[in-house]
Amino acid sequence: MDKSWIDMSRNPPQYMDGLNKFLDFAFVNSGVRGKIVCPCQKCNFNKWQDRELVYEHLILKPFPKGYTMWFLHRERKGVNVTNETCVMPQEDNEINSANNPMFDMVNDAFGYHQYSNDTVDDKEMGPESSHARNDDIGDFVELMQDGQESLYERCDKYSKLSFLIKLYHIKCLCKISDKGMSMILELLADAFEHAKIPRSFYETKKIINKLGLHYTKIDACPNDCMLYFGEDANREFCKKCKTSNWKAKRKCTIGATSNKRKKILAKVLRYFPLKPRLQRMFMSSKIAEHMRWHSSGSTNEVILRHPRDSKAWKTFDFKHPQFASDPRNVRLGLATDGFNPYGNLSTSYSIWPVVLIPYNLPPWMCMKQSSFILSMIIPGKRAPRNDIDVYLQPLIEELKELWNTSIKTFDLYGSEVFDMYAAILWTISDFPGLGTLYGWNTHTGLACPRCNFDTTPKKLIKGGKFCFMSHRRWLDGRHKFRLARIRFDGTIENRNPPLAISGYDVLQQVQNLNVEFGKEPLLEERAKRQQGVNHAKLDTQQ
Amino acid sequence: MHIEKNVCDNVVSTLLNDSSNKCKDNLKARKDLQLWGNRPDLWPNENGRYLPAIYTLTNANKDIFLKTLKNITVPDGYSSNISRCIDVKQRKLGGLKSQDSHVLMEQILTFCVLDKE
Repeated sequence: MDKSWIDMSRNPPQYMDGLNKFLDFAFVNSGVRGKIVCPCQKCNFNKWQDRELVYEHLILKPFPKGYTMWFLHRERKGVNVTNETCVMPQEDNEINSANNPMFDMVNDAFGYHQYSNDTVDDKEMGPESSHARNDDIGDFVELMQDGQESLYERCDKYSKLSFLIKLYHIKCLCKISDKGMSMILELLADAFEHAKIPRSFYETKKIINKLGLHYTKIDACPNDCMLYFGEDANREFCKKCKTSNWKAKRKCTIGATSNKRKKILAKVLRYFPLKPRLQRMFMSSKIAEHMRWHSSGSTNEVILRHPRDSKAWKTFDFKHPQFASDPRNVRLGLATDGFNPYGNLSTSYSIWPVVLIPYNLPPWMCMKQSSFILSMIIPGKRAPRNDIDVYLQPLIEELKELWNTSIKTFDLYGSEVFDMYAAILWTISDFPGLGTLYGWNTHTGLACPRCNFDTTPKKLIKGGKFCFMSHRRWLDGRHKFRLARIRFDGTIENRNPPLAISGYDVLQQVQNLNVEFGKEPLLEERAKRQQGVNHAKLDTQQ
Repeated sequence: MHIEKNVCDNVVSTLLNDSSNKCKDNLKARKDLQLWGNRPDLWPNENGRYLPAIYTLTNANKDIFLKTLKNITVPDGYSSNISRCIDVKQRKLGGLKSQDSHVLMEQILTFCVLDKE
């Protein structure tokens, strides 16, 4: 079929002819009760319209330029279109294809609503993003085809994609292992030969992976000295401790095979880029509307029901009016804590997941697990402690970019492209975790980060603990306890409470500090034992 | 939750002066007072002996305190049956859940201690 008319302007008769041919084709192959999915810019392949309306729409608005393979109107490769028998329109069929949630999902994931927009958007978004989109289109088309393909012949209920996604959902809910899934899939594929079920879980994952957002692996020094990131990406040895980023090869008894063995990285940080995740929030039809809840949602001055009612939030708005002017700018919270993934308390292993919380969402959404953004997984054995700064580098870099220079984002709710900024408002952690994130030592006498240096700790020599006896400073100026010497530590308390320390003060304190990252290398078990033997030998010699 | 439970444990065992490590009125604390040079009436002597503090209960007082606790009945679902957690013979309190610690600290302890005077 000649499809050159798609690129033409909408005036000449060739366009009209082509359009009529398209409509004939579409109504024969995918018409349900005299309606088809309208491909015009406004309906976006979402609405079902009758012939006259579609014709009108496609005269008023251009036919989507890239849509030359009409897979949404049941065009198949290599199938002789004219001879194809018309599928009997059934009620089930209509319901399925009209409200297919799978299509919505795929559309949301790829921001398909953008593709049919004018090319002006492309220019706005910059050359990089449009290039990236071209790459995505392949995935999108494949997914759409999978979504269109029925599981077996004359199956109206499930397409290949929806079946796999439902199976995957069950896997996630019931925590079935990958191996278990492979075995189930093998059985299904064996039992139902005519169904299009992939043979292994690996292939299923390959299909579903296209829907997800990807992460990057960044090598790290095993002693937490540095990240092989940015300029240092191609290094092989650590700048500071000269350790290789590969694991030391084990001595192999069979010499020949040792060379063939794949190298293993010593430590890998898994980083989940923030920008595409924020962009997807605005692309998703279910979330985009809620991303401005904090300014539009009903307010009640008395009740604190969302961080936006708090003083910190309002102060932030006051200080950064430009940021606050657009409610779509994202405010984030950062939470981190160590945990042992092996569930065995006797093994000491702690990885530190870093989670970002989008506070733009309403309270019933923002603290749900499904809206958290996992930002990175800091690998373990040992907790990062102060060296967490090394691992946070990629996140901080991205956040700096999101604060200083915005990124263009398509907002589905307002259906426009806007400049998105993002900021971190606060961090959430337990007290030792605060020490890790803030870099303030939370263990000795000067443990309180708020009092800073303005506190008088006292070590109880016999008890072996620190005590903080300056608590009378918070009392009213003329309180009788301030004068009570004997009841407390034998002094009269005249001081006022310590002044709250501001960000500027902290910067002043930290500015000239020279922090060296990295830890002493961990000895392996064998080395430890060896060391023990050496010590024993020395002892006997002496 | 944890902090409240810990404080409750410390307060109760300090009141009952049981010799477990929960009791904060111990020899080390008294020695620290001496090093501090404060409250000479509480200092221990050379043999490590010290006089009871003003808040330490005598055995008779402990019995009154525990009996009061033993007689308490609470509405259903309010807290666990606290009278079951009390061992009057050994003068001990044990097996409290953290919710019970909260109830004890907030409400019950106030009038139990008042009873002493």
